[in-house]
Amino acid sequence: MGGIIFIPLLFVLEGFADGTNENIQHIQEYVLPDLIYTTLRMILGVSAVSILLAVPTAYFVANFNFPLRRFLEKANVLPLTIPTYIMGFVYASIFSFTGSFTKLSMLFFTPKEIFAWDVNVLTEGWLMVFLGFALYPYVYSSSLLHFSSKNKAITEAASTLGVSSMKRFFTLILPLAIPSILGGTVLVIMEVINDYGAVSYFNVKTFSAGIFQAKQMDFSGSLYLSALAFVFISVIFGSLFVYRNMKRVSDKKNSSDFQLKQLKGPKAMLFSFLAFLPFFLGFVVPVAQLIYLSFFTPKSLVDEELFSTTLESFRVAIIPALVIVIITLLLLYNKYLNKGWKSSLIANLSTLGYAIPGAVIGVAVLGFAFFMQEDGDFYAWGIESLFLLSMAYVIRFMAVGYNTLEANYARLPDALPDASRVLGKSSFATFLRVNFPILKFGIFTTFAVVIIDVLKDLPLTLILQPFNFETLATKAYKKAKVAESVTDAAPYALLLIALGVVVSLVLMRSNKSTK
Amino acid sequence: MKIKFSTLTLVFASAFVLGSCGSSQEETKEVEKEVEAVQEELNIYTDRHYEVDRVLYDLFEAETGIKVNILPGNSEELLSRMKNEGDRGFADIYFTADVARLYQAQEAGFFQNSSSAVLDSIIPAYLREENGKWYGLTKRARIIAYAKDRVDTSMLSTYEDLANEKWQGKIAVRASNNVYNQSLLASIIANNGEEAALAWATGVVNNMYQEPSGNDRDQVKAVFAEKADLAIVNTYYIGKLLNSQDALEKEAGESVNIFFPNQAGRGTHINISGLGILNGAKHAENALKLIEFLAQEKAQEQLAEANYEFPVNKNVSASELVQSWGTFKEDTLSLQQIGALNATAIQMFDKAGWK
Repeated sequence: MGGIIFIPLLFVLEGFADGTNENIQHIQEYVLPDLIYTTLRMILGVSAVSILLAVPTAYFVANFNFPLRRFLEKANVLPLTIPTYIMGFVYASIFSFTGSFTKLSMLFFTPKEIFAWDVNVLTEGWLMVFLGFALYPYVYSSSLLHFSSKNKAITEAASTLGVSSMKRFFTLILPLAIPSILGGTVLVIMEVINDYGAVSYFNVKTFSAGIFQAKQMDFSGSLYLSALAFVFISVIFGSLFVYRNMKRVSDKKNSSDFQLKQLKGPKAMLFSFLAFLPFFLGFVVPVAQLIYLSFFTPKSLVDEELFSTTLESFRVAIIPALVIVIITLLLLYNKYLNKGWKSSLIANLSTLGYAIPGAVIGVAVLGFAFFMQEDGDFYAWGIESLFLLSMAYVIRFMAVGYNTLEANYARLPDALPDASRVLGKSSFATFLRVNFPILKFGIFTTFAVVIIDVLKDLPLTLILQPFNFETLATKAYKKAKVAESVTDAAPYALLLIALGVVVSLVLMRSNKSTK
Repeated sequence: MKIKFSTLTLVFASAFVLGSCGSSQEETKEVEKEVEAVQEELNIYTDRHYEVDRVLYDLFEAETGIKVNILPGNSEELLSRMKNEGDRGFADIYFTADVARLYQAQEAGFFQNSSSAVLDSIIPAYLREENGKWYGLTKRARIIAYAKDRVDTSMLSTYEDLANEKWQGKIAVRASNNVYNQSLLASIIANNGEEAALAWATGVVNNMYQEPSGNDRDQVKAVFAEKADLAIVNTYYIGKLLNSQDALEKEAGESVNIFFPNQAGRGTHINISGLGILNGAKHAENALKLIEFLAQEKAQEQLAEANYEFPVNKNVSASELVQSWGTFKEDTLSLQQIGALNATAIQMFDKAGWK
């Protein structure tokens, strides 16, 4: 099953075939060294920002009670509904010379004074920060899950032994949380590598930007870079995989019946503020700016198609989400049956698609479609029926689904299924009757998370769409691209975010009812 | 109870997947039937996402009964797709906003030859491919926007002059991954040779007020904020700024004037939006009809009005705002040649350190 997902990706490796090409030599000499360093810097920078925003917030929310805690626990997931390229565009528009920052400052200063501050956010450093705003919820979610289930017993023990809370955090709690934090960080890294819209606007040359540039010269160069990116990414993930498996904590006890530490006074206010800050920067600010910008959107651009586009976007997301849930369940079932490294490896291979830039997957799927049938009938059917697009979504977002569901699965105590099997139930019946019901909430979460990601997707949709077809993401991107200003895209971007928020809200409600 | 519910969910989910596959197959069949009944249609891959394009397609549809289907994408994705499809695809036309893309498609062998007396008479030879592989439909000029209050026109002359030390730290221009910059450099390579062009690009890099980032609008805004004195941009972005609903953006547009370089010599560099008929086209006749329709006066007027571009049809005048910038001499270097030098230009930017 993992192979089915993985094999189309091998079409990428064709890129190494043409290694003597003149353009490839140029790339090796002038482009590649910088490209690799920049990609590594971006990976490290965005991961650092994400972890700084996410881990303290998750820790506070999991262990202490302070004003707005329940709201902030949920709210800190919402920045995920904003695609990275929109986050980049929006923050750039806030700090552009004619942006909201200048306008607000003009209440107190003259434009000349403001311009003299030399505010310039179109730099690599600031892009790391803005992408961190959009991506920290991945780390937040995975560490929240860890903090609220795994470390209670340890914390309590350490606290009765009189270890100070700061020391406790850095010597005990944090080291134990590393595998979970890494799990979320992996998703952050994948998003960073995949982003094309924001890096090209900020002119930061990562692999995606390099592939784009090579594509302008000729195809062999871009295929070569894609193949290189594939190997580069596989190495990073291979080492992360090995590390995570070495460090896997065996404690699966789910002790949700703990007490939150009640905070009062200024300390409570401080914690509220600290947990509010990431949500404010990652969601409140960009959404407010988009609402503000939408007042300047020419009326002619907001057409009747808005509603049908919204429905269309949602419709194309549902089937891939279902397929991903089903495949993930099968992979987990396989892992449950065969506990060895092989089944883990298969599962991990099948999630590799998320690390490959979307445009590359799109091309790989095209290659696969023609390989299946020379005359292109399968291709024509595949495009019109959205089969190829759905397939590409599944390959690309398998990791999101798998990681989310696996995190829930990992919380299952082994004893339960074991008991069931001792009682003579077949392993499939056990899986269906014991594991599956407990996973129900996880399945729903996975479903929702994948839908949000598909809604945001750009490159796959652009390369595999049929005629007369638009999603909110493609519309928002095109509007922003044509006018070279996020103003025209604002209504579409807002709808896209609203749709994501609705899905998240439904998710949170069901979360409550299952608890 | 719980077990039943989850089993039901799974059954429901699988049924849904199967059901939707079935229905989409049926849908395809229905579509095919419909196609057979209507027959007259036309499929376009386009990276132009202007509202006016759709308006014109609708007009064409009303006049001829030919239904226009569009697949709007990025040029890079569309080119990859055409490359993979070969002649098994279902698009008839590729429409793009830069000549380098047209040339790339041409070189990859995506276009077929065509001939039309109408188009040959309307579109000047340097704005189309000699065998009718592609035709330019609108023109845009890459010009110098200068700070009204700090720069005197007597200081400005040519693109070449932008490499002069007197502009040190005063030029705003976007990144080298931008295809408009690539075409500009290609025109300089074609006119002055590779060595001079490399020296020029290096000189401009030295004169930049900071490492390039952002888009054409951002460059004008940098002049507005007095970070730079000159911005190298396409004409229509000035039009967009001047017509912005946002007062401060409008002010930024008003802070600059437009200067058409190289008027004493070869003329100002221009670029085109253009289109060609694809090899696998199943509706090649309809495609040619559409191109002729778009080149004629009625469509050209709308194109010119909507996007502050210059019409290729000389019987049509530009919009009022564009006319207010004055007439200018165009560089009539064959656009074919500019396209051919695109890869050289990209590599030269890397060598010159133009990020």
